[in-house]
Amino acid sequence: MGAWLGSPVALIPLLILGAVVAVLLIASGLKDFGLTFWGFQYRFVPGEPDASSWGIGVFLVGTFLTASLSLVLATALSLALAISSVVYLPPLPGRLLSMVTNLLAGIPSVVYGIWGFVVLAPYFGLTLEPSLRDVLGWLPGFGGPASDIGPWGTLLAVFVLTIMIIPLTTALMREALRSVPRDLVEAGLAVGATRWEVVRRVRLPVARNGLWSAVLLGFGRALGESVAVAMVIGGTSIALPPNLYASTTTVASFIFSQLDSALIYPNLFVLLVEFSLVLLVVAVVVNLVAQRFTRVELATATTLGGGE
Amino acid sequence: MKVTTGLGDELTHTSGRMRRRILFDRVIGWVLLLAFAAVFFPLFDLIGWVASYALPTMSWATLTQNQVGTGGGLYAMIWGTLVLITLGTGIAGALGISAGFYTAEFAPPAVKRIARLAGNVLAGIPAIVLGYFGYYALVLYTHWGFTTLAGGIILGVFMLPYIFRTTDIALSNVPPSQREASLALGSSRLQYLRRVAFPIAFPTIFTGVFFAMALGLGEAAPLVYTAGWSSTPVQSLMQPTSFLTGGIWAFYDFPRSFGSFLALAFQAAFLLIVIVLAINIVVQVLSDRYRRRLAGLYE
Amino acid sequence: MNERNDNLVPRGSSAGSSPLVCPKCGAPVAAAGTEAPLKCGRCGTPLSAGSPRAATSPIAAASEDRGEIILAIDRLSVLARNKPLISDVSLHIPVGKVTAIIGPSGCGKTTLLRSMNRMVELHHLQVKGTVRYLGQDIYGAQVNPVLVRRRIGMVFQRPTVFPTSVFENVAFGLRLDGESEDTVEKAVVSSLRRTGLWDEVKEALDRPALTLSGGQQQRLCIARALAVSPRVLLMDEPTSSLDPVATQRVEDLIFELKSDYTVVIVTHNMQQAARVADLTAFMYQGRLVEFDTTKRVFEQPKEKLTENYITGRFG
Ligand SMILES: Nc1ncnc2c1ncn2[C@@H]1O[C@H](COP(=O)(O)OP(=O)(O)O)[C@@H](O)[C@H]1O
Ligand SMILES: [Mg+2]
Repeated sequence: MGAWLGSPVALIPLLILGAVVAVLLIASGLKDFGLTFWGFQYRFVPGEPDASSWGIGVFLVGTFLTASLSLVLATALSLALAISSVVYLPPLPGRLLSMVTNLLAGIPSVVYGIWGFVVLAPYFGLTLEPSLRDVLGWLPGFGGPASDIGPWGTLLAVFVLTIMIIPLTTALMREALRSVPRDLVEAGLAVGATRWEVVRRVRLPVARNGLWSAVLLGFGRALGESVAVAMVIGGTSIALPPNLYASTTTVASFIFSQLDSALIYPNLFVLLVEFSLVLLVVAVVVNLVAQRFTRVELATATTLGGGE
Repeated sequence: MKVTTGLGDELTHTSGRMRRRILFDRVIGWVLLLAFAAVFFPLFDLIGWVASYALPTMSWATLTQNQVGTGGGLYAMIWGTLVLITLGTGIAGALGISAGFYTAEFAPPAVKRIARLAGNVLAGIPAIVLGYFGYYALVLYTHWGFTTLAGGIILGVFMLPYIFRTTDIALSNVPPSQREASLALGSSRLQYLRRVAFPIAFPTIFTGVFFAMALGLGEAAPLVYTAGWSSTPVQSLMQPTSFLTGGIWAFYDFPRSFGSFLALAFQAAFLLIVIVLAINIVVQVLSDRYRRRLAGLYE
Repeated sequence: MNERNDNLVPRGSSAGSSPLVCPKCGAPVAAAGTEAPLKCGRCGTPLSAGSPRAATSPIAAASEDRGEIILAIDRLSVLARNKPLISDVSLHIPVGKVTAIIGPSGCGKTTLLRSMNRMVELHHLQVKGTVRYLGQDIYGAQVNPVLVRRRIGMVFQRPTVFPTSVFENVAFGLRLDGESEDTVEKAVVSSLRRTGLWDEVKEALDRPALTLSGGQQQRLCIARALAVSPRVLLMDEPTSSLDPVATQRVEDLIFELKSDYTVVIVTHNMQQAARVADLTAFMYQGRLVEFDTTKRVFEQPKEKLTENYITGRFG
C-alpha cells in the first residue's frame, strides 16, 4: 500500500473544504465585493435588482457584537468551570460535572431557540431588562427604551449564545489546563503555593496558548450560530441596535431566515451567497489562527476531550 | 534515641498572611463552583419547560399521525429525520472512517498534518454555510430542487469531521507495542488493522459516530436549504422532506392563538431532547472510559 | 545562614514514652493534659489510656543514636485503591544529615519520599500510619499541606523551572508571602549564592530560566526550594537527567547543604548514595529492608537482600 495512494482518502475533509470554498466563490462571481458591500447601507427592493444595494456592515457589527459579548461571559464562566473541575474537585465529581457540561453541547440549537423565544423572553422583558436598566442604565448600551417588537433582541441572543458555547470553551479550557506538565504544578505546590496560587502563577501562564485557542474557537462557534440566534434576536430591523434591548441581526441568522425570499428574488440569492462566503472566510481564519499555536481538536472537544 | 517533640506547632502556628492565603484558596474553590449554575440552570429549566409544554398534549398519535392543519402528529417529520440521519450517517461514516483510517495508518506526516487541520477547520465551518453551499450545488445547479438526498449529503458533510477526527485519534492511540507485536508476527498492515487496531479502536469510533448522529439530529441549518419541506412522509430520495428541527423552526413563532402549532413545535423539541440526550449520555460514558483508559498509566 | 536551625531542638524534648495512637486511623495523639479526655486529632475518635501505643519498629532508627529526629515515619503504608505501594515503613530521619533511600526501580522510593510532604495526596493515594515533623503529625486535621511543604521542600527528578526569568523562578515562593522587593532580592541572591549559581547567572537574572543548561536548571530548582527557608529538602533522583559534570556539582552542593538543612535523597545510583549520604535506607518491594549508616549498609549489611542488591546481583 503506497502512502501516496491513500492520501486522497485522508484528504477527503480538505477536498470538501476546497469544494465549499470554490463553489461559493464561483457562485458569487466575486464581482460585488466593492466598497458598498462593506458599507452600512442596506436597501433591498424586492424584484428591482437595479434599485437594490446592500452592505454587510450592519450584519457584521451585529455578528461581532453578539459573539463578543457572549464570549466574554462564556470565557469567565468556562474558566471557572474548567479550573473547578481540573483543580478543585475530587476526581469523581469533577468527571461527572464535566460530563454534564458536555451534555449541553448536544442539545439542538433549535431547542435553545424555542426555549429562548417562548420561556426566557417574557422573563427578559418583564424582569431582567427593567432591572438592568435601573441599575446599569448609566452604562452605554444598558440605558434606553425597550424595543417595539418585544424582548427579542441582542441581550437575549447573547444569553442564549453564551449557554450554547460554554460546553465547547469549557472542554477546550479543561484540556488546556490539564496539559500543563504535572511536574510544574507539583513544583509550585512543593514550594508551598496554594492550589489557587499555582493556578494563577503556573497553570494559567503555561496554558495561555491553549486558553486563547479555546476562546477563539468559542468565538468561531458563536459567529456561525444561525438557528438559535435567528429565533431570539428579533431580526426584523436591519439597523445597528441603539441598545442591548434592541433587535439586530447577524450574518448567519440572516442567511438562515431568508430562505423564503431567496427562492423568489434572484438578487437576494446573490446577496446570501456573498454573505455565506464572508462567514466562511471569517470562520476559516478564526479556526486557523486558533490552531496555529496549540494543537486543539475542535471536532472531539466535548467527547474525547479535545486532544490526543 | 530521641524523638523530637514539643516544638510541634510549626505546622499549625502561622502568620496572618498565610492564613489569608489558605482561606482565599478554600473560598475561591467554592466560588468557582457557582459557575455550575450556568450549566444546571439551562439543563433543568430548558428540559422542564419543554416537557411541560409538550407532554400535556402528547399522545401516541403524536408519533403515528401526520400533521393535519394545525393539529395531528409528527409522523412525517420523524420519518424524514430518520431517513436523513441514516443517509447522513452512511455518507459521513463511510467517508469519515476511511479518511480516519488512512490518516492514522498510511498517510505520510505532511498529509497527516494537513488532513487533521482540515478536519478541524471543517468542524468550525458554520452549518448554515454548508447549507447554503448545498442549496447552490445540489438544489439549483443540479436542477434537483429540494430533495431528501441533498439534505442527507449535506448532513453527512456536516457530520463528517466529527467521525473523521475520532477515528483518526482512536487508531493513532492504539499502543505502539500492540502494533509492533502484530507486525512482527508477520501480519500484513491490513490484517493488523482488522484483527488488532480495529477491535481496540472500535468503541471510540462508535462514540464518534454516535456523537455525530446526535449533532446531526439536532441541526436545522444544513437542511432547510436542501431538504426543503413536505407535510407528507417522504417516499423517494428525490422528494423533499420535513424533519423535526424544521418543524420547530416552522411553528415556534405562531401567535398563541394558534396554540396547537406551538404544541407541535414543543412536541418535536421534546422528542429531539429525549433522543439526543440519550445518545449523548451513552457517548459521555463511553468517552469517559476511553479517556481513563488512556490516562490509566498504572493499570 | 538559616538561624532558625539554632533553636531546632526544643526545650524539654526528651525522648519519653511513645505516644498513643488512634486505633481507627493510626494518627499519634499527643498526651497533653492528663485531665482532658483525649481525642484523636485527625479523625476525632475518643481514646482511653489503654489505647495502643505507637510501636516503633526495629529498623526505624539507625542502629546508633544519630541525634535529634526531625522526621519520624512510623508504620507508614501508602495505598492506591487498596493496593499497597509501600507497606509498614518506619524510618526516623535525623536532623542535619543526608539520608539516602536506595532500592530497585518501582520499589516505592518516590512514594515514600512524596509521603514526607504530603505530595502523595495529589495522586489521591491513601496514607496509613504517621509522619511526624518535629513531633507533629503532618497529616493531622489541623495541618494544612501548604505549611508542610514550606518546611519540607522538594526537588524533582527533572528540573521543573517555570517559564519565567531566572530571578522570578527563585522568587516564586517569596512573592506568595508578599515580601517586600528588598527582602525578595536579598533572599534570591543568597539562595543563588548558596547553590553556587550566583556567579554563573548574576548577569542573566532576567533571562528566561529555560535557557539555562540542565544542571543549572536543577540547581535553580534547589535555589527556589531553599529561598523559602525549609528545614528539610527532599530530592527525588535529582541528578538522573544530568551529565557527570553537572551531577558532580549537585552532589557537592548536597554535601554543603548538610550544615543548614536535613536532606533526604532518593537515588538508584548506589555510588551516589555512598558519596553523599550519612545514612542509607534500602527498600525492596514496598518495604524498608535496612536502615543504617551508609558505611555499614554498604560494608556489613545485616540483610541478605541488601547485600545482594549492593553487590549488584539484582536491580
Ligand atoms: N499514583 C499512583 N497510583 C498507583 N500506583 C502508583 C502510583 N504511583 C506509583 N505507583 C506504583 O507504585 C510503585 C512504586 O512506585 P515509586 O514509588 O515511583 O517507585 P520508585 O521511585 O522506587 O521507582 C510502582 O509499582 C508504581 O507503578
Ligand atoms: Mg522514583
